[in-house]
Amino acid sequence: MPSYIVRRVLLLVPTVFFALSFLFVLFFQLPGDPANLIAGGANRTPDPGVIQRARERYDLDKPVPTQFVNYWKRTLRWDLGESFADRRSVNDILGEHAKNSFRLGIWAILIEIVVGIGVGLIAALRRYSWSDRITTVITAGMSAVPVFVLGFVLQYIFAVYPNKHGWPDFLKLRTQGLGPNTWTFFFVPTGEEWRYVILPAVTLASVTTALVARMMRGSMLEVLRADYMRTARAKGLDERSVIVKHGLRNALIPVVTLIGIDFGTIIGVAVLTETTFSWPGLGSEIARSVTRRDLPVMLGLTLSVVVIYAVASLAVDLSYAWFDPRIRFGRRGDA
Amino acid sequence: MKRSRVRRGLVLVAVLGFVLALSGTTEAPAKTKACKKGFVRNKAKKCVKKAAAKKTTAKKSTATTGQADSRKPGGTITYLNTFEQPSLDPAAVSAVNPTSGAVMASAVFDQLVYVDAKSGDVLPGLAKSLTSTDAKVWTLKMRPGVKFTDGTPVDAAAVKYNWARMADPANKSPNLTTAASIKDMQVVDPQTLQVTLVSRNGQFPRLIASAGITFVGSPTALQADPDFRNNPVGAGPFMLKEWVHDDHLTLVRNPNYWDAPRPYVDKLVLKLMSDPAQRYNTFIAGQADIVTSYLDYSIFTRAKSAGFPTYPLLTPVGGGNVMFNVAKAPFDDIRVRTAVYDALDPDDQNQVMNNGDAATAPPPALIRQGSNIYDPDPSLRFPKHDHVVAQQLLDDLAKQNGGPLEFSLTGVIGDKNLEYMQSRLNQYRNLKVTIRGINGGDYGTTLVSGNFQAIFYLAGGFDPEPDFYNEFHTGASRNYWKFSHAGLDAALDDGRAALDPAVRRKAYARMEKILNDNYIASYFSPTIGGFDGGYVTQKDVKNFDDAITFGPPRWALIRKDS
Repeated sequence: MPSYIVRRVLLLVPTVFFALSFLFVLFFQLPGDPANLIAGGANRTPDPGVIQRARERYDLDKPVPTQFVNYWKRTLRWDLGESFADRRSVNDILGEHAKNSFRLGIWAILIEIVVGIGVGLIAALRRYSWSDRITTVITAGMSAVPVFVLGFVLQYIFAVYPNKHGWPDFLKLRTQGLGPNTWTFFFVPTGEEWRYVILPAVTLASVTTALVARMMRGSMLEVLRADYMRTARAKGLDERSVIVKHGLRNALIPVVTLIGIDFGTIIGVAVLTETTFSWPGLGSEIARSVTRRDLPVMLGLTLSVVVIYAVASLAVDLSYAWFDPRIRFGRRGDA
Repeated sequence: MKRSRVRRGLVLVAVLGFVLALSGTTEAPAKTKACKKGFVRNKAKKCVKKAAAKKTTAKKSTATTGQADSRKPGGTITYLNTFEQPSLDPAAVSAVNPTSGAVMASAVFDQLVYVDAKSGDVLPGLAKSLTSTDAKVWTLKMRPGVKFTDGTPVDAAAVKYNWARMADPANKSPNLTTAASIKDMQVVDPQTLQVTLVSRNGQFPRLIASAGITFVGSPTALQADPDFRNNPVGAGPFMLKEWVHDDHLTLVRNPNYWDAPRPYVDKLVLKLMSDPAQRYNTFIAGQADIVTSYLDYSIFTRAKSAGFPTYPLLTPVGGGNVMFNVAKAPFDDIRVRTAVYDALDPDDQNQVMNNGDAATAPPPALIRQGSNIYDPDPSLRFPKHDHVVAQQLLDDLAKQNGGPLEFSLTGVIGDKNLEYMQSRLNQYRNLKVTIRGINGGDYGTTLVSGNFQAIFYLAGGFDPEPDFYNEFHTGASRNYWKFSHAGLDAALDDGRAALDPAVRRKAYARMEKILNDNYIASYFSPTIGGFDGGYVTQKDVKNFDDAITFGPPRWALIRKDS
């Protein structure tokens, strides 16, 4: 197991190198002059002298290969540079936005786990019942509705409508932003904060929760037909132990894979949800950095997302051994 | 089975407890039992006759239009901001308009001088006066006894320090050009700064009001704190308490503000929300007090029809236009410019693109009512767009050139006005227009390179100074079309140097006439920088009318009924 972990961590090095190098090269193929944006923004009218000064300040007047080598020299020293757009340290920007992404991501993942797995399990155990049919219809609908549509609908139902009709304050949820930014144990919203987290977390979790529920249902149905389930019952185990200890653990493997991959997505590319709810996370900041041609921010934040993806993927792989003790890593010939 | 019931019961109790705990953290819901018909609930939560309530409100309104409201300050104002200024160093704040970083800076620093939205005049703010007799040497008088929030004085030396800092190229301030127009500064006494300009400028106060040079930070803090940009110290109505980047700023009342008893509210929250749909949703959900219709005029009209107080902001000079590049064929020929000008139809454009909304109707002249240099002379209006003349000219040009007139219309990808214009213009005989859509990031470099024939542009603002000088004077930094006209240069020079509004009015009337006669541009929108409409507030926000300037609102003047 330790050698497997070491191998996977080492594999991260070329992954990060190629991902960032590819983005670096791609950046210079994008239309738009970053110096112009630094000097004055999109459809404004910058002074030519300011554009030239911006080029010099950020080495944009140097050949691309020189910029590439300089970038990697800085990155190896963990100097992610300074934002072209607002001259802030990328390390600071990363620190602020990553925290927000994790806070939102944790709640979205919890919703996926509790609701997705719970609903899928019930639907599988009560196959062809009303609850199963309703689950099928709702999950199909949920996975088809774009998150920004769902976001605006939820904002109307839980914020605009209650305000129009004078509902009590505690029933009105907040539509936008981070709120008072008060947290306990890093991610537990405290005081007013919970009213800001609910809607973006539900929106962010919606599609994957539906997918998790459908996958859980299918996987559980498959497992319920397996021989070892019949054997477990024949041994005289009570139904609860059969389902939880023998069925659920086996059925969870594909579901955990989905949730694990989704964790990386939620942290790094939740652009639509973050934009709909003005949540200052990593995804929306990366998108903004692309439109602003802010190369240091784009690369610095992407670096963190690549690492998060890799770590989430490693955690998922390692979790297989816990769900299915037959799976062992690190030895040739093992599964 | 019994154990399971007990467990279920415990879970239910825990869930109920959690819900109650959460609800306990919010404000208690108001007891809102309705009053009888004809009665309303007053502040003491008693039902009173509607007429009596109205009387009290009217009295209060009269009081708030006076010099200052002596009632105890209180409440929180939440403003939905459209742009976050990344640094609150005064040297980093560039433009001063209702959607720039000045919105944040003015709360912390106040403005030395500002442009009043009602009169268009430059009025004193943190500074007591700024005067000159020759437009070259200016005397800035500061108010005695005013202090920054760190206790140091806001005096002539502080202003000199800030302006010298902006003029230093090493600091890379966007205000460098403005600060560099100052040749010399002398502190005459603690309250007086004598400023000598490089050349005469009768609009120096307007120049200060429109640039970041209007903000002054504490020199002591600027020298001592390397992270001043995040911990600014000013003499504004509010002090920065918390800044969550890309989300919000929380500012608290400055108890020692020079214009006591202002500010009237205890707390100001500037919440960043660039998307117009989100802004409107948040506003109607009651989660914000003030919103702008920036980038979406419908916010203004929808809020108005929903009964919210609305405050239009006039943009009386210039607007959105198609600018012809006179340095390049085919627009180096005035007949081509005239033909295309006549072929365009801004009224039809407003009808098609904005449902004929009166507020977005094409401007009748370059300088309009609302500007203090407006000249009602009908000959200064934009020439009429004549489709018959357009077709005749196009036919003549085709005969002469042996083919139809062809040109490209440049604009940022996604601007639907581009497609509208192309479809309308291509209906003429002997005219072929292609669209050259460019990425927003390429817009500035396209202008600088001069690589365009006709381009969508925003020219003007709230006064011809300083934009029109920069855009139309020979050799000026933004004269991308290389237009050069001795008469126009003289008019712009006279307009800049003059102190007397009557002289300015005459100079700019000359400017209007020359620009109209030369068909440099066709104006189709009164919009400046996307600031359609204006502000919308909740009903309990008071004094906002007095707070509007051509820059950010004057935060100190806004009051909230609680």
